[in-house]
Amino acid sequence: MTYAVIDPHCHIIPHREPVWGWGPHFKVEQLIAMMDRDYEVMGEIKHVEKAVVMTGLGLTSVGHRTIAESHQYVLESIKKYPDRLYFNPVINPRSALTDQLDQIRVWKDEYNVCMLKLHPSMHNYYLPTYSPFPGEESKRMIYPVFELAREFDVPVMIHMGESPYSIPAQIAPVAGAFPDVPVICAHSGANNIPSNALDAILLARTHDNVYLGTSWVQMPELVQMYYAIGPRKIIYESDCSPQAMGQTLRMVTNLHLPPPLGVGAGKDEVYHMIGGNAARLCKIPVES
Amino acid sequence: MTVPIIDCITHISRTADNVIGWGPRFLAEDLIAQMDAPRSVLSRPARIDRAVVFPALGDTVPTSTLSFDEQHSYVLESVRKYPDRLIGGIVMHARLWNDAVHESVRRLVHDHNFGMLYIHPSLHKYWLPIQTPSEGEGSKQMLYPLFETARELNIPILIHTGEQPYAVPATVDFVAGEFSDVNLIIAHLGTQGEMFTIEALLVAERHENVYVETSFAMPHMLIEAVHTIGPERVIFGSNCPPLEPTQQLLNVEEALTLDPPIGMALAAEETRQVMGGNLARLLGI
Repeated sequence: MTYAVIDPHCHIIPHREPVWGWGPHFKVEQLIAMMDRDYEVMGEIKHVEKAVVMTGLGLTSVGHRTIAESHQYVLESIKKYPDRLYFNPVINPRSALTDQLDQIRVWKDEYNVCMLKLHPSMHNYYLPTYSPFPGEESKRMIYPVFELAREFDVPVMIHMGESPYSIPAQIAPVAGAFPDVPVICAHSGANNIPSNALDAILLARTHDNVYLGTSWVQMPELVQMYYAIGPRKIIYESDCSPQAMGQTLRMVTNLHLPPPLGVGAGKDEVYHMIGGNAARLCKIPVES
Repeated sequence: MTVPIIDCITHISRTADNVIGWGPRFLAEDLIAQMDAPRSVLSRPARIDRAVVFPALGDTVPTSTLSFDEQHSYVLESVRKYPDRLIGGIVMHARLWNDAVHESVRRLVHDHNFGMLYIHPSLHKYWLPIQTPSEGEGSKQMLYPLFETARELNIPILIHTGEQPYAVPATVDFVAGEFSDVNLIIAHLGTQGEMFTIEALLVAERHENVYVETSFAMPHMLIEAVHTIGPERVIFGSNCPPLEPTQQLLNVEEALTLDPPIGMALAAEETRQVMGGNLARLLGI
């Protein structure tokens, strides 16, 4: 059992994010400083030991950058902090998909690639649907990403949280088609519509390979999640930046409290949620 | 003198709230323990000095067989027990309103220092007054006596918002204009099952008498709130239970005080106003 805190959902960028707009920058040193702040976890002061980093999402959407260009700063940062940072490359499946996947193969070991990221809202596509239009085109874009995840034995993290492309139920067809590939439903769909988390819970209950991320989730839905799918399928994530790590981590560790504020989760259960599950799925080495 | 931390919205009950969905109970002593829990706020140890405490909302739904006085008996008992820590809050199911309830409300405010009315359009099934006469007139007849009483007693009204169809913050706009001398607090910054923060802020921007409360608020929307209406009309609330006060305070502190892009680097003094100073002013503390 590991008692490390791992944050598998972070973004860094050395300038303003071109689509979301947040800024003026969130450099790797700011992220490391955020990880090293004191966080009270069930009465102990802890730090975030490791983080999985993504680039600023807008870089993969506007400006016609290659995947190497949109990830240049993340690559440099991982080289600088190889023991703290792991890599989740963001794939825009509408743009030179084969080149992107080939590049990620090159990066795999040198840059701690431990996950693959899809963002249907940012890149304007529906995940594979039951209908042929746009289902067949979507399969052509998305299945190669899942095949790469299967080859690497890593999860695919999929952004969820708003209409029309990022509704948790839309994950069901591809999760069913690749039952051996873990899927992390980022934000549990709650990013802009908190009650979407209830749909994500149903998705995770009905698909063994679907895990739920906790950023932007509200406590009542997190409590439902614990009882519905158990602590081994819940994954703490901050979405820092723009979210802070403190309150997002506190919400998950509050499951330790007795009802009505928490569920009375055991210490080991909480550590599965705030580190162990991510370490297991993403094969992030942590000390026992 | 340090600005106190005051929590705008908490609940207590001897039994589970099976409508909202928390339990098995949350006593006044449980709330006080949370208020006194060890925590650091703005780099200093800090307790929550006072809290506005409401009954469990589930006791007030239309199918409840409890009278208005019964709904509030445990809060009244607790406020009398902890007068320095707890401020009574009235959950006003508008459909229960009559002369006797009116008198009870007056008595709670005058004799027991109750300080706030809370109305909940979703639970109690009504639209706030709108322009369309077919819905608007009935709503006015039901709600205006409450608003007039808030004016008479000089207490603010907390309005639940955060989901369709009844609790959309834009519907606060009309009544905020009609009762411009009554202070209204839009609860949850318009965020519960759905997020209507921008709508809440549009209303607050139009009406000086409209404040916003922070429980359940998304952190980037707290920042937007302060940029839109200034820190003076943003009020900390935890909505404990089911939310935990330290996490909700941390949400406010991180969003307001950390450097961009995480926060907005608001000064500690102004953040303190959000955490308690503004509500102290509103409640005349």
